[in-house]
Amino acid sequence: MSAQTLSFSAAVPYGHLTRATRSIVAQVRLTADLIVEWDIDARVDSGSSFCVFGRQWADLLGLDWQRGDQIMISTAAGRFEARLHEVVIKLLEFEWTAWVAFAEWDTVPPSPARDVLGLNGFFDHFLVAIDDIRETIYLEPRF
Amino acid sequence: MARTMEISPVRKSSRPLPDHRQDWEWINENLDELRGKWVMMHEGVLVASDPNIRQLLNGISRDSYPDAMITYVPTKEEAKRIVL
Repeated sequence: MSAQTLSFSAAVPYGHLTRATRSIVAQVRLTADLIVEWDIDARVDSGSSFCVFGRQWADLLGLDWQRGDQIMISTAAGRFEARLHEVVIKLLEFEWTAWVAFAEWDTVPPSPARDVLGLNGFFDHFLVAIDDIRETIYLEPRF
Repeated sequence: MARTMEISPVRKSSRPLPDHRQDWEWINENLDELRGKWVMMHEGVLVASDPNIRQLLNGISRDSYPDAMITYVPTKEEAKRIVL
């Protein structure tokens, strides 16, 4: 087996975001029009095909949820509808444009919808390593 | 699901995101009072909290708090749940 070396230019500590519950979380800023922006925290989840956010964020970003492309998201607990919209996501000093899914529900417990950074929209934009013991995400952007 | 969409490259932002560490310090010091609520913080100060996110934001001018952050603080019961 040959050794592999990867390098990362950014580190995102998340310990201070997870005192209330155990998770791997990053603080991101969402915007659709570069005018209205919201800073929220989202779980980093490579098991999610898409970045998924609660419907309230679509409304607050000024997006017409209904007008997005419809997709169905399957989870261990069942399926829910979501709509794809293009947004700009910002994290640290990085920003990128991505199609993300907004769930049919607000992200309010016990709704199965959560704010998640998944494969399409996040992992396809960064090389990602997670050191959960040190509560740090390492990122190398794909410029 | 196969990747089907064109991937736009990551750009360097003209303005890095604000550091919300002092917001989180305040939240972590006041966890018990905030559990079960959405919380809006701005520069280390609590702007509003409410169990309903839409209620929380009702009447708040986004322009007044351009660098505010919003998070949900789970109840102890919610925090114990195993999440997939």
